[in-house]
Amino acid sequence: MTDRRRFAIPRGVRLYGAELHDEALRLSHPISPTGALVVALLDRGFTVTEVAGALSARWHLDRERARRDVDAFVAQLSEAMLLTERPGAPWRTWPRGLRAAMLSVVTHQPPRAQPRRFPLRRGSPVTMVTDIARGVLIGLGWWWLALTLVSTLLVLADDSPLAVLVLVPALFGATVAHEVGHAAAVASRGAGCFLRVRGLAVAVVHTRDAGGVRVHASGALLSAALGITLLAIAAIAGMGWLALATTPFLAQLVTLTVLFGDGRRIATA
Amino acid sequence: MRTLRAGLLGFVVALVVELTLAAALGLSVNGSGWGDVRLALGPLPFVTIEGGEGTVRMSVREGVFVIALIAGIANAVGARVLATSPKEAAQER
Repeated sequence: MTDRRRFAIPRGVRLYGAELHDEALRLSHPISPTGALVVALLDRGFTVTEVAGALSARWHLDRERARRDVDAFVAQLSEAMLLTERPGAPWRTWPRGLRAAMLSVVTHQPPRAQPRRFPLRRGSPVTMVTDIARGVLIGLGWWWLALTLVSTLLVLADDSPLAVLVLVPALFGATVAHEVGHAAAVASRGAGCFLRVRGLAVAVVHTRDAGGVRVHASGALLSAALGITLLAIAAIAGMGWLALATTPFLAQLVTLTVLFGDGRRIATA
Repeated sequence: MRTLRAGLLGFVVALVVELTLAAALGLSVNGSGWGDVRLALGPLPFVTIEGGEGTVRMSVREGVFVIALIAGIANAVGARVLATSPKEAAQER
C-alpha cells in the first residue's frame, strides 16, 4: 500500500542530532539515530512510503515491514505534536478522506482529525492574543466559514434579526478569550505552551507541572469577565445586539463543569 | 470535600450563566422590540421579560434555582464518578 502522507517538523520543535527539542514546552525527546534519519527525511518532504523504501534499501529490510515501522513511529510523534502532517491539495487527498469516511461508517467511530500545532511567541499580551486568534481562525477556518454562511442565510431567508450576524464574531472572540486565559495563566507560572487544534477542539498544551486549578479555570473566567463587562456596556448604552454578542462569552462558564475537559481537571485536582 | 466543592461550583456556574444569559436576552429583546418574553419548561417558569418604552423589566422565577440545583447535584455526581474512575486515577499519577 502506498502512503503518500508528508510530514514536517512544526515550528517550535527542532531536531538536534538524535534529539527532538520542543522549544515551547522546554522538553527534549531523545530518539534513535534511525528515528532521527526518518524525521529528517520526512521534514525534507519525502512521503512515508519513500522514507520506508529508503530504510529498506539501506538496511535490506522487508519493504512492508519498514513501512509499518515508519508508520508507527510517525503516529507516536504526531500524537506528541512533534511532527505534523503537511496539508495536501484536496484533489490529491480525497481518496484517503473517502477511505477514512468509509472506515468511520464501519467502525461507528468519527474519523480522527489530524492535530495542528500553532506556536505562541513569548512577548507582550498583544503578541499572545494575535497568535491565538490566528491559530483559532486558521485551525477552524471551515467551521467559521460554515457558521458565517448559515447565519447570513438565516438573516436573508428568514425574518431573523440582523443581530444574529454578530454571533459568529462573538463566538470567535469567546474562543480566543478562553484560550488567552489559559495561556496567560501558564505564562504567569513561567512555563511555555502552544495551541493545538484537532477537529473542533482547541486547547492550550502545556506540561503537567505547569497546570493547576488556576490554569484550568482561567479560560472560562476570563471569557465570562469579558462577557459581563460587555453586558454592562450594552445595558448602559442600550445596545441589544451587543447584549446578544455577550452570550458566547458567558456560556464559556459551562466549561467549568465535568461535561468539559477543564471542569474534569478541576474536579479531580 | 471534592464532591461538595464540585456541587457548589456546578450550582454557582449554572446560576451565573442563567442570570447573565437572561439579562443578555432581556436587553436584546428590549433592543429589538420583540415584546414580552416568558421562558418556561412546562409549569416551571424561568424568566419573564417585559419590554416597555425604553425600559425592560426582568423577573427571575423559581425555575432558575431548580436548574442550578440540578446542575450542582449532577456536577457533584460527575466529580464523584471521575474520582473513582481508574482512567482518571491513572492520569493523575
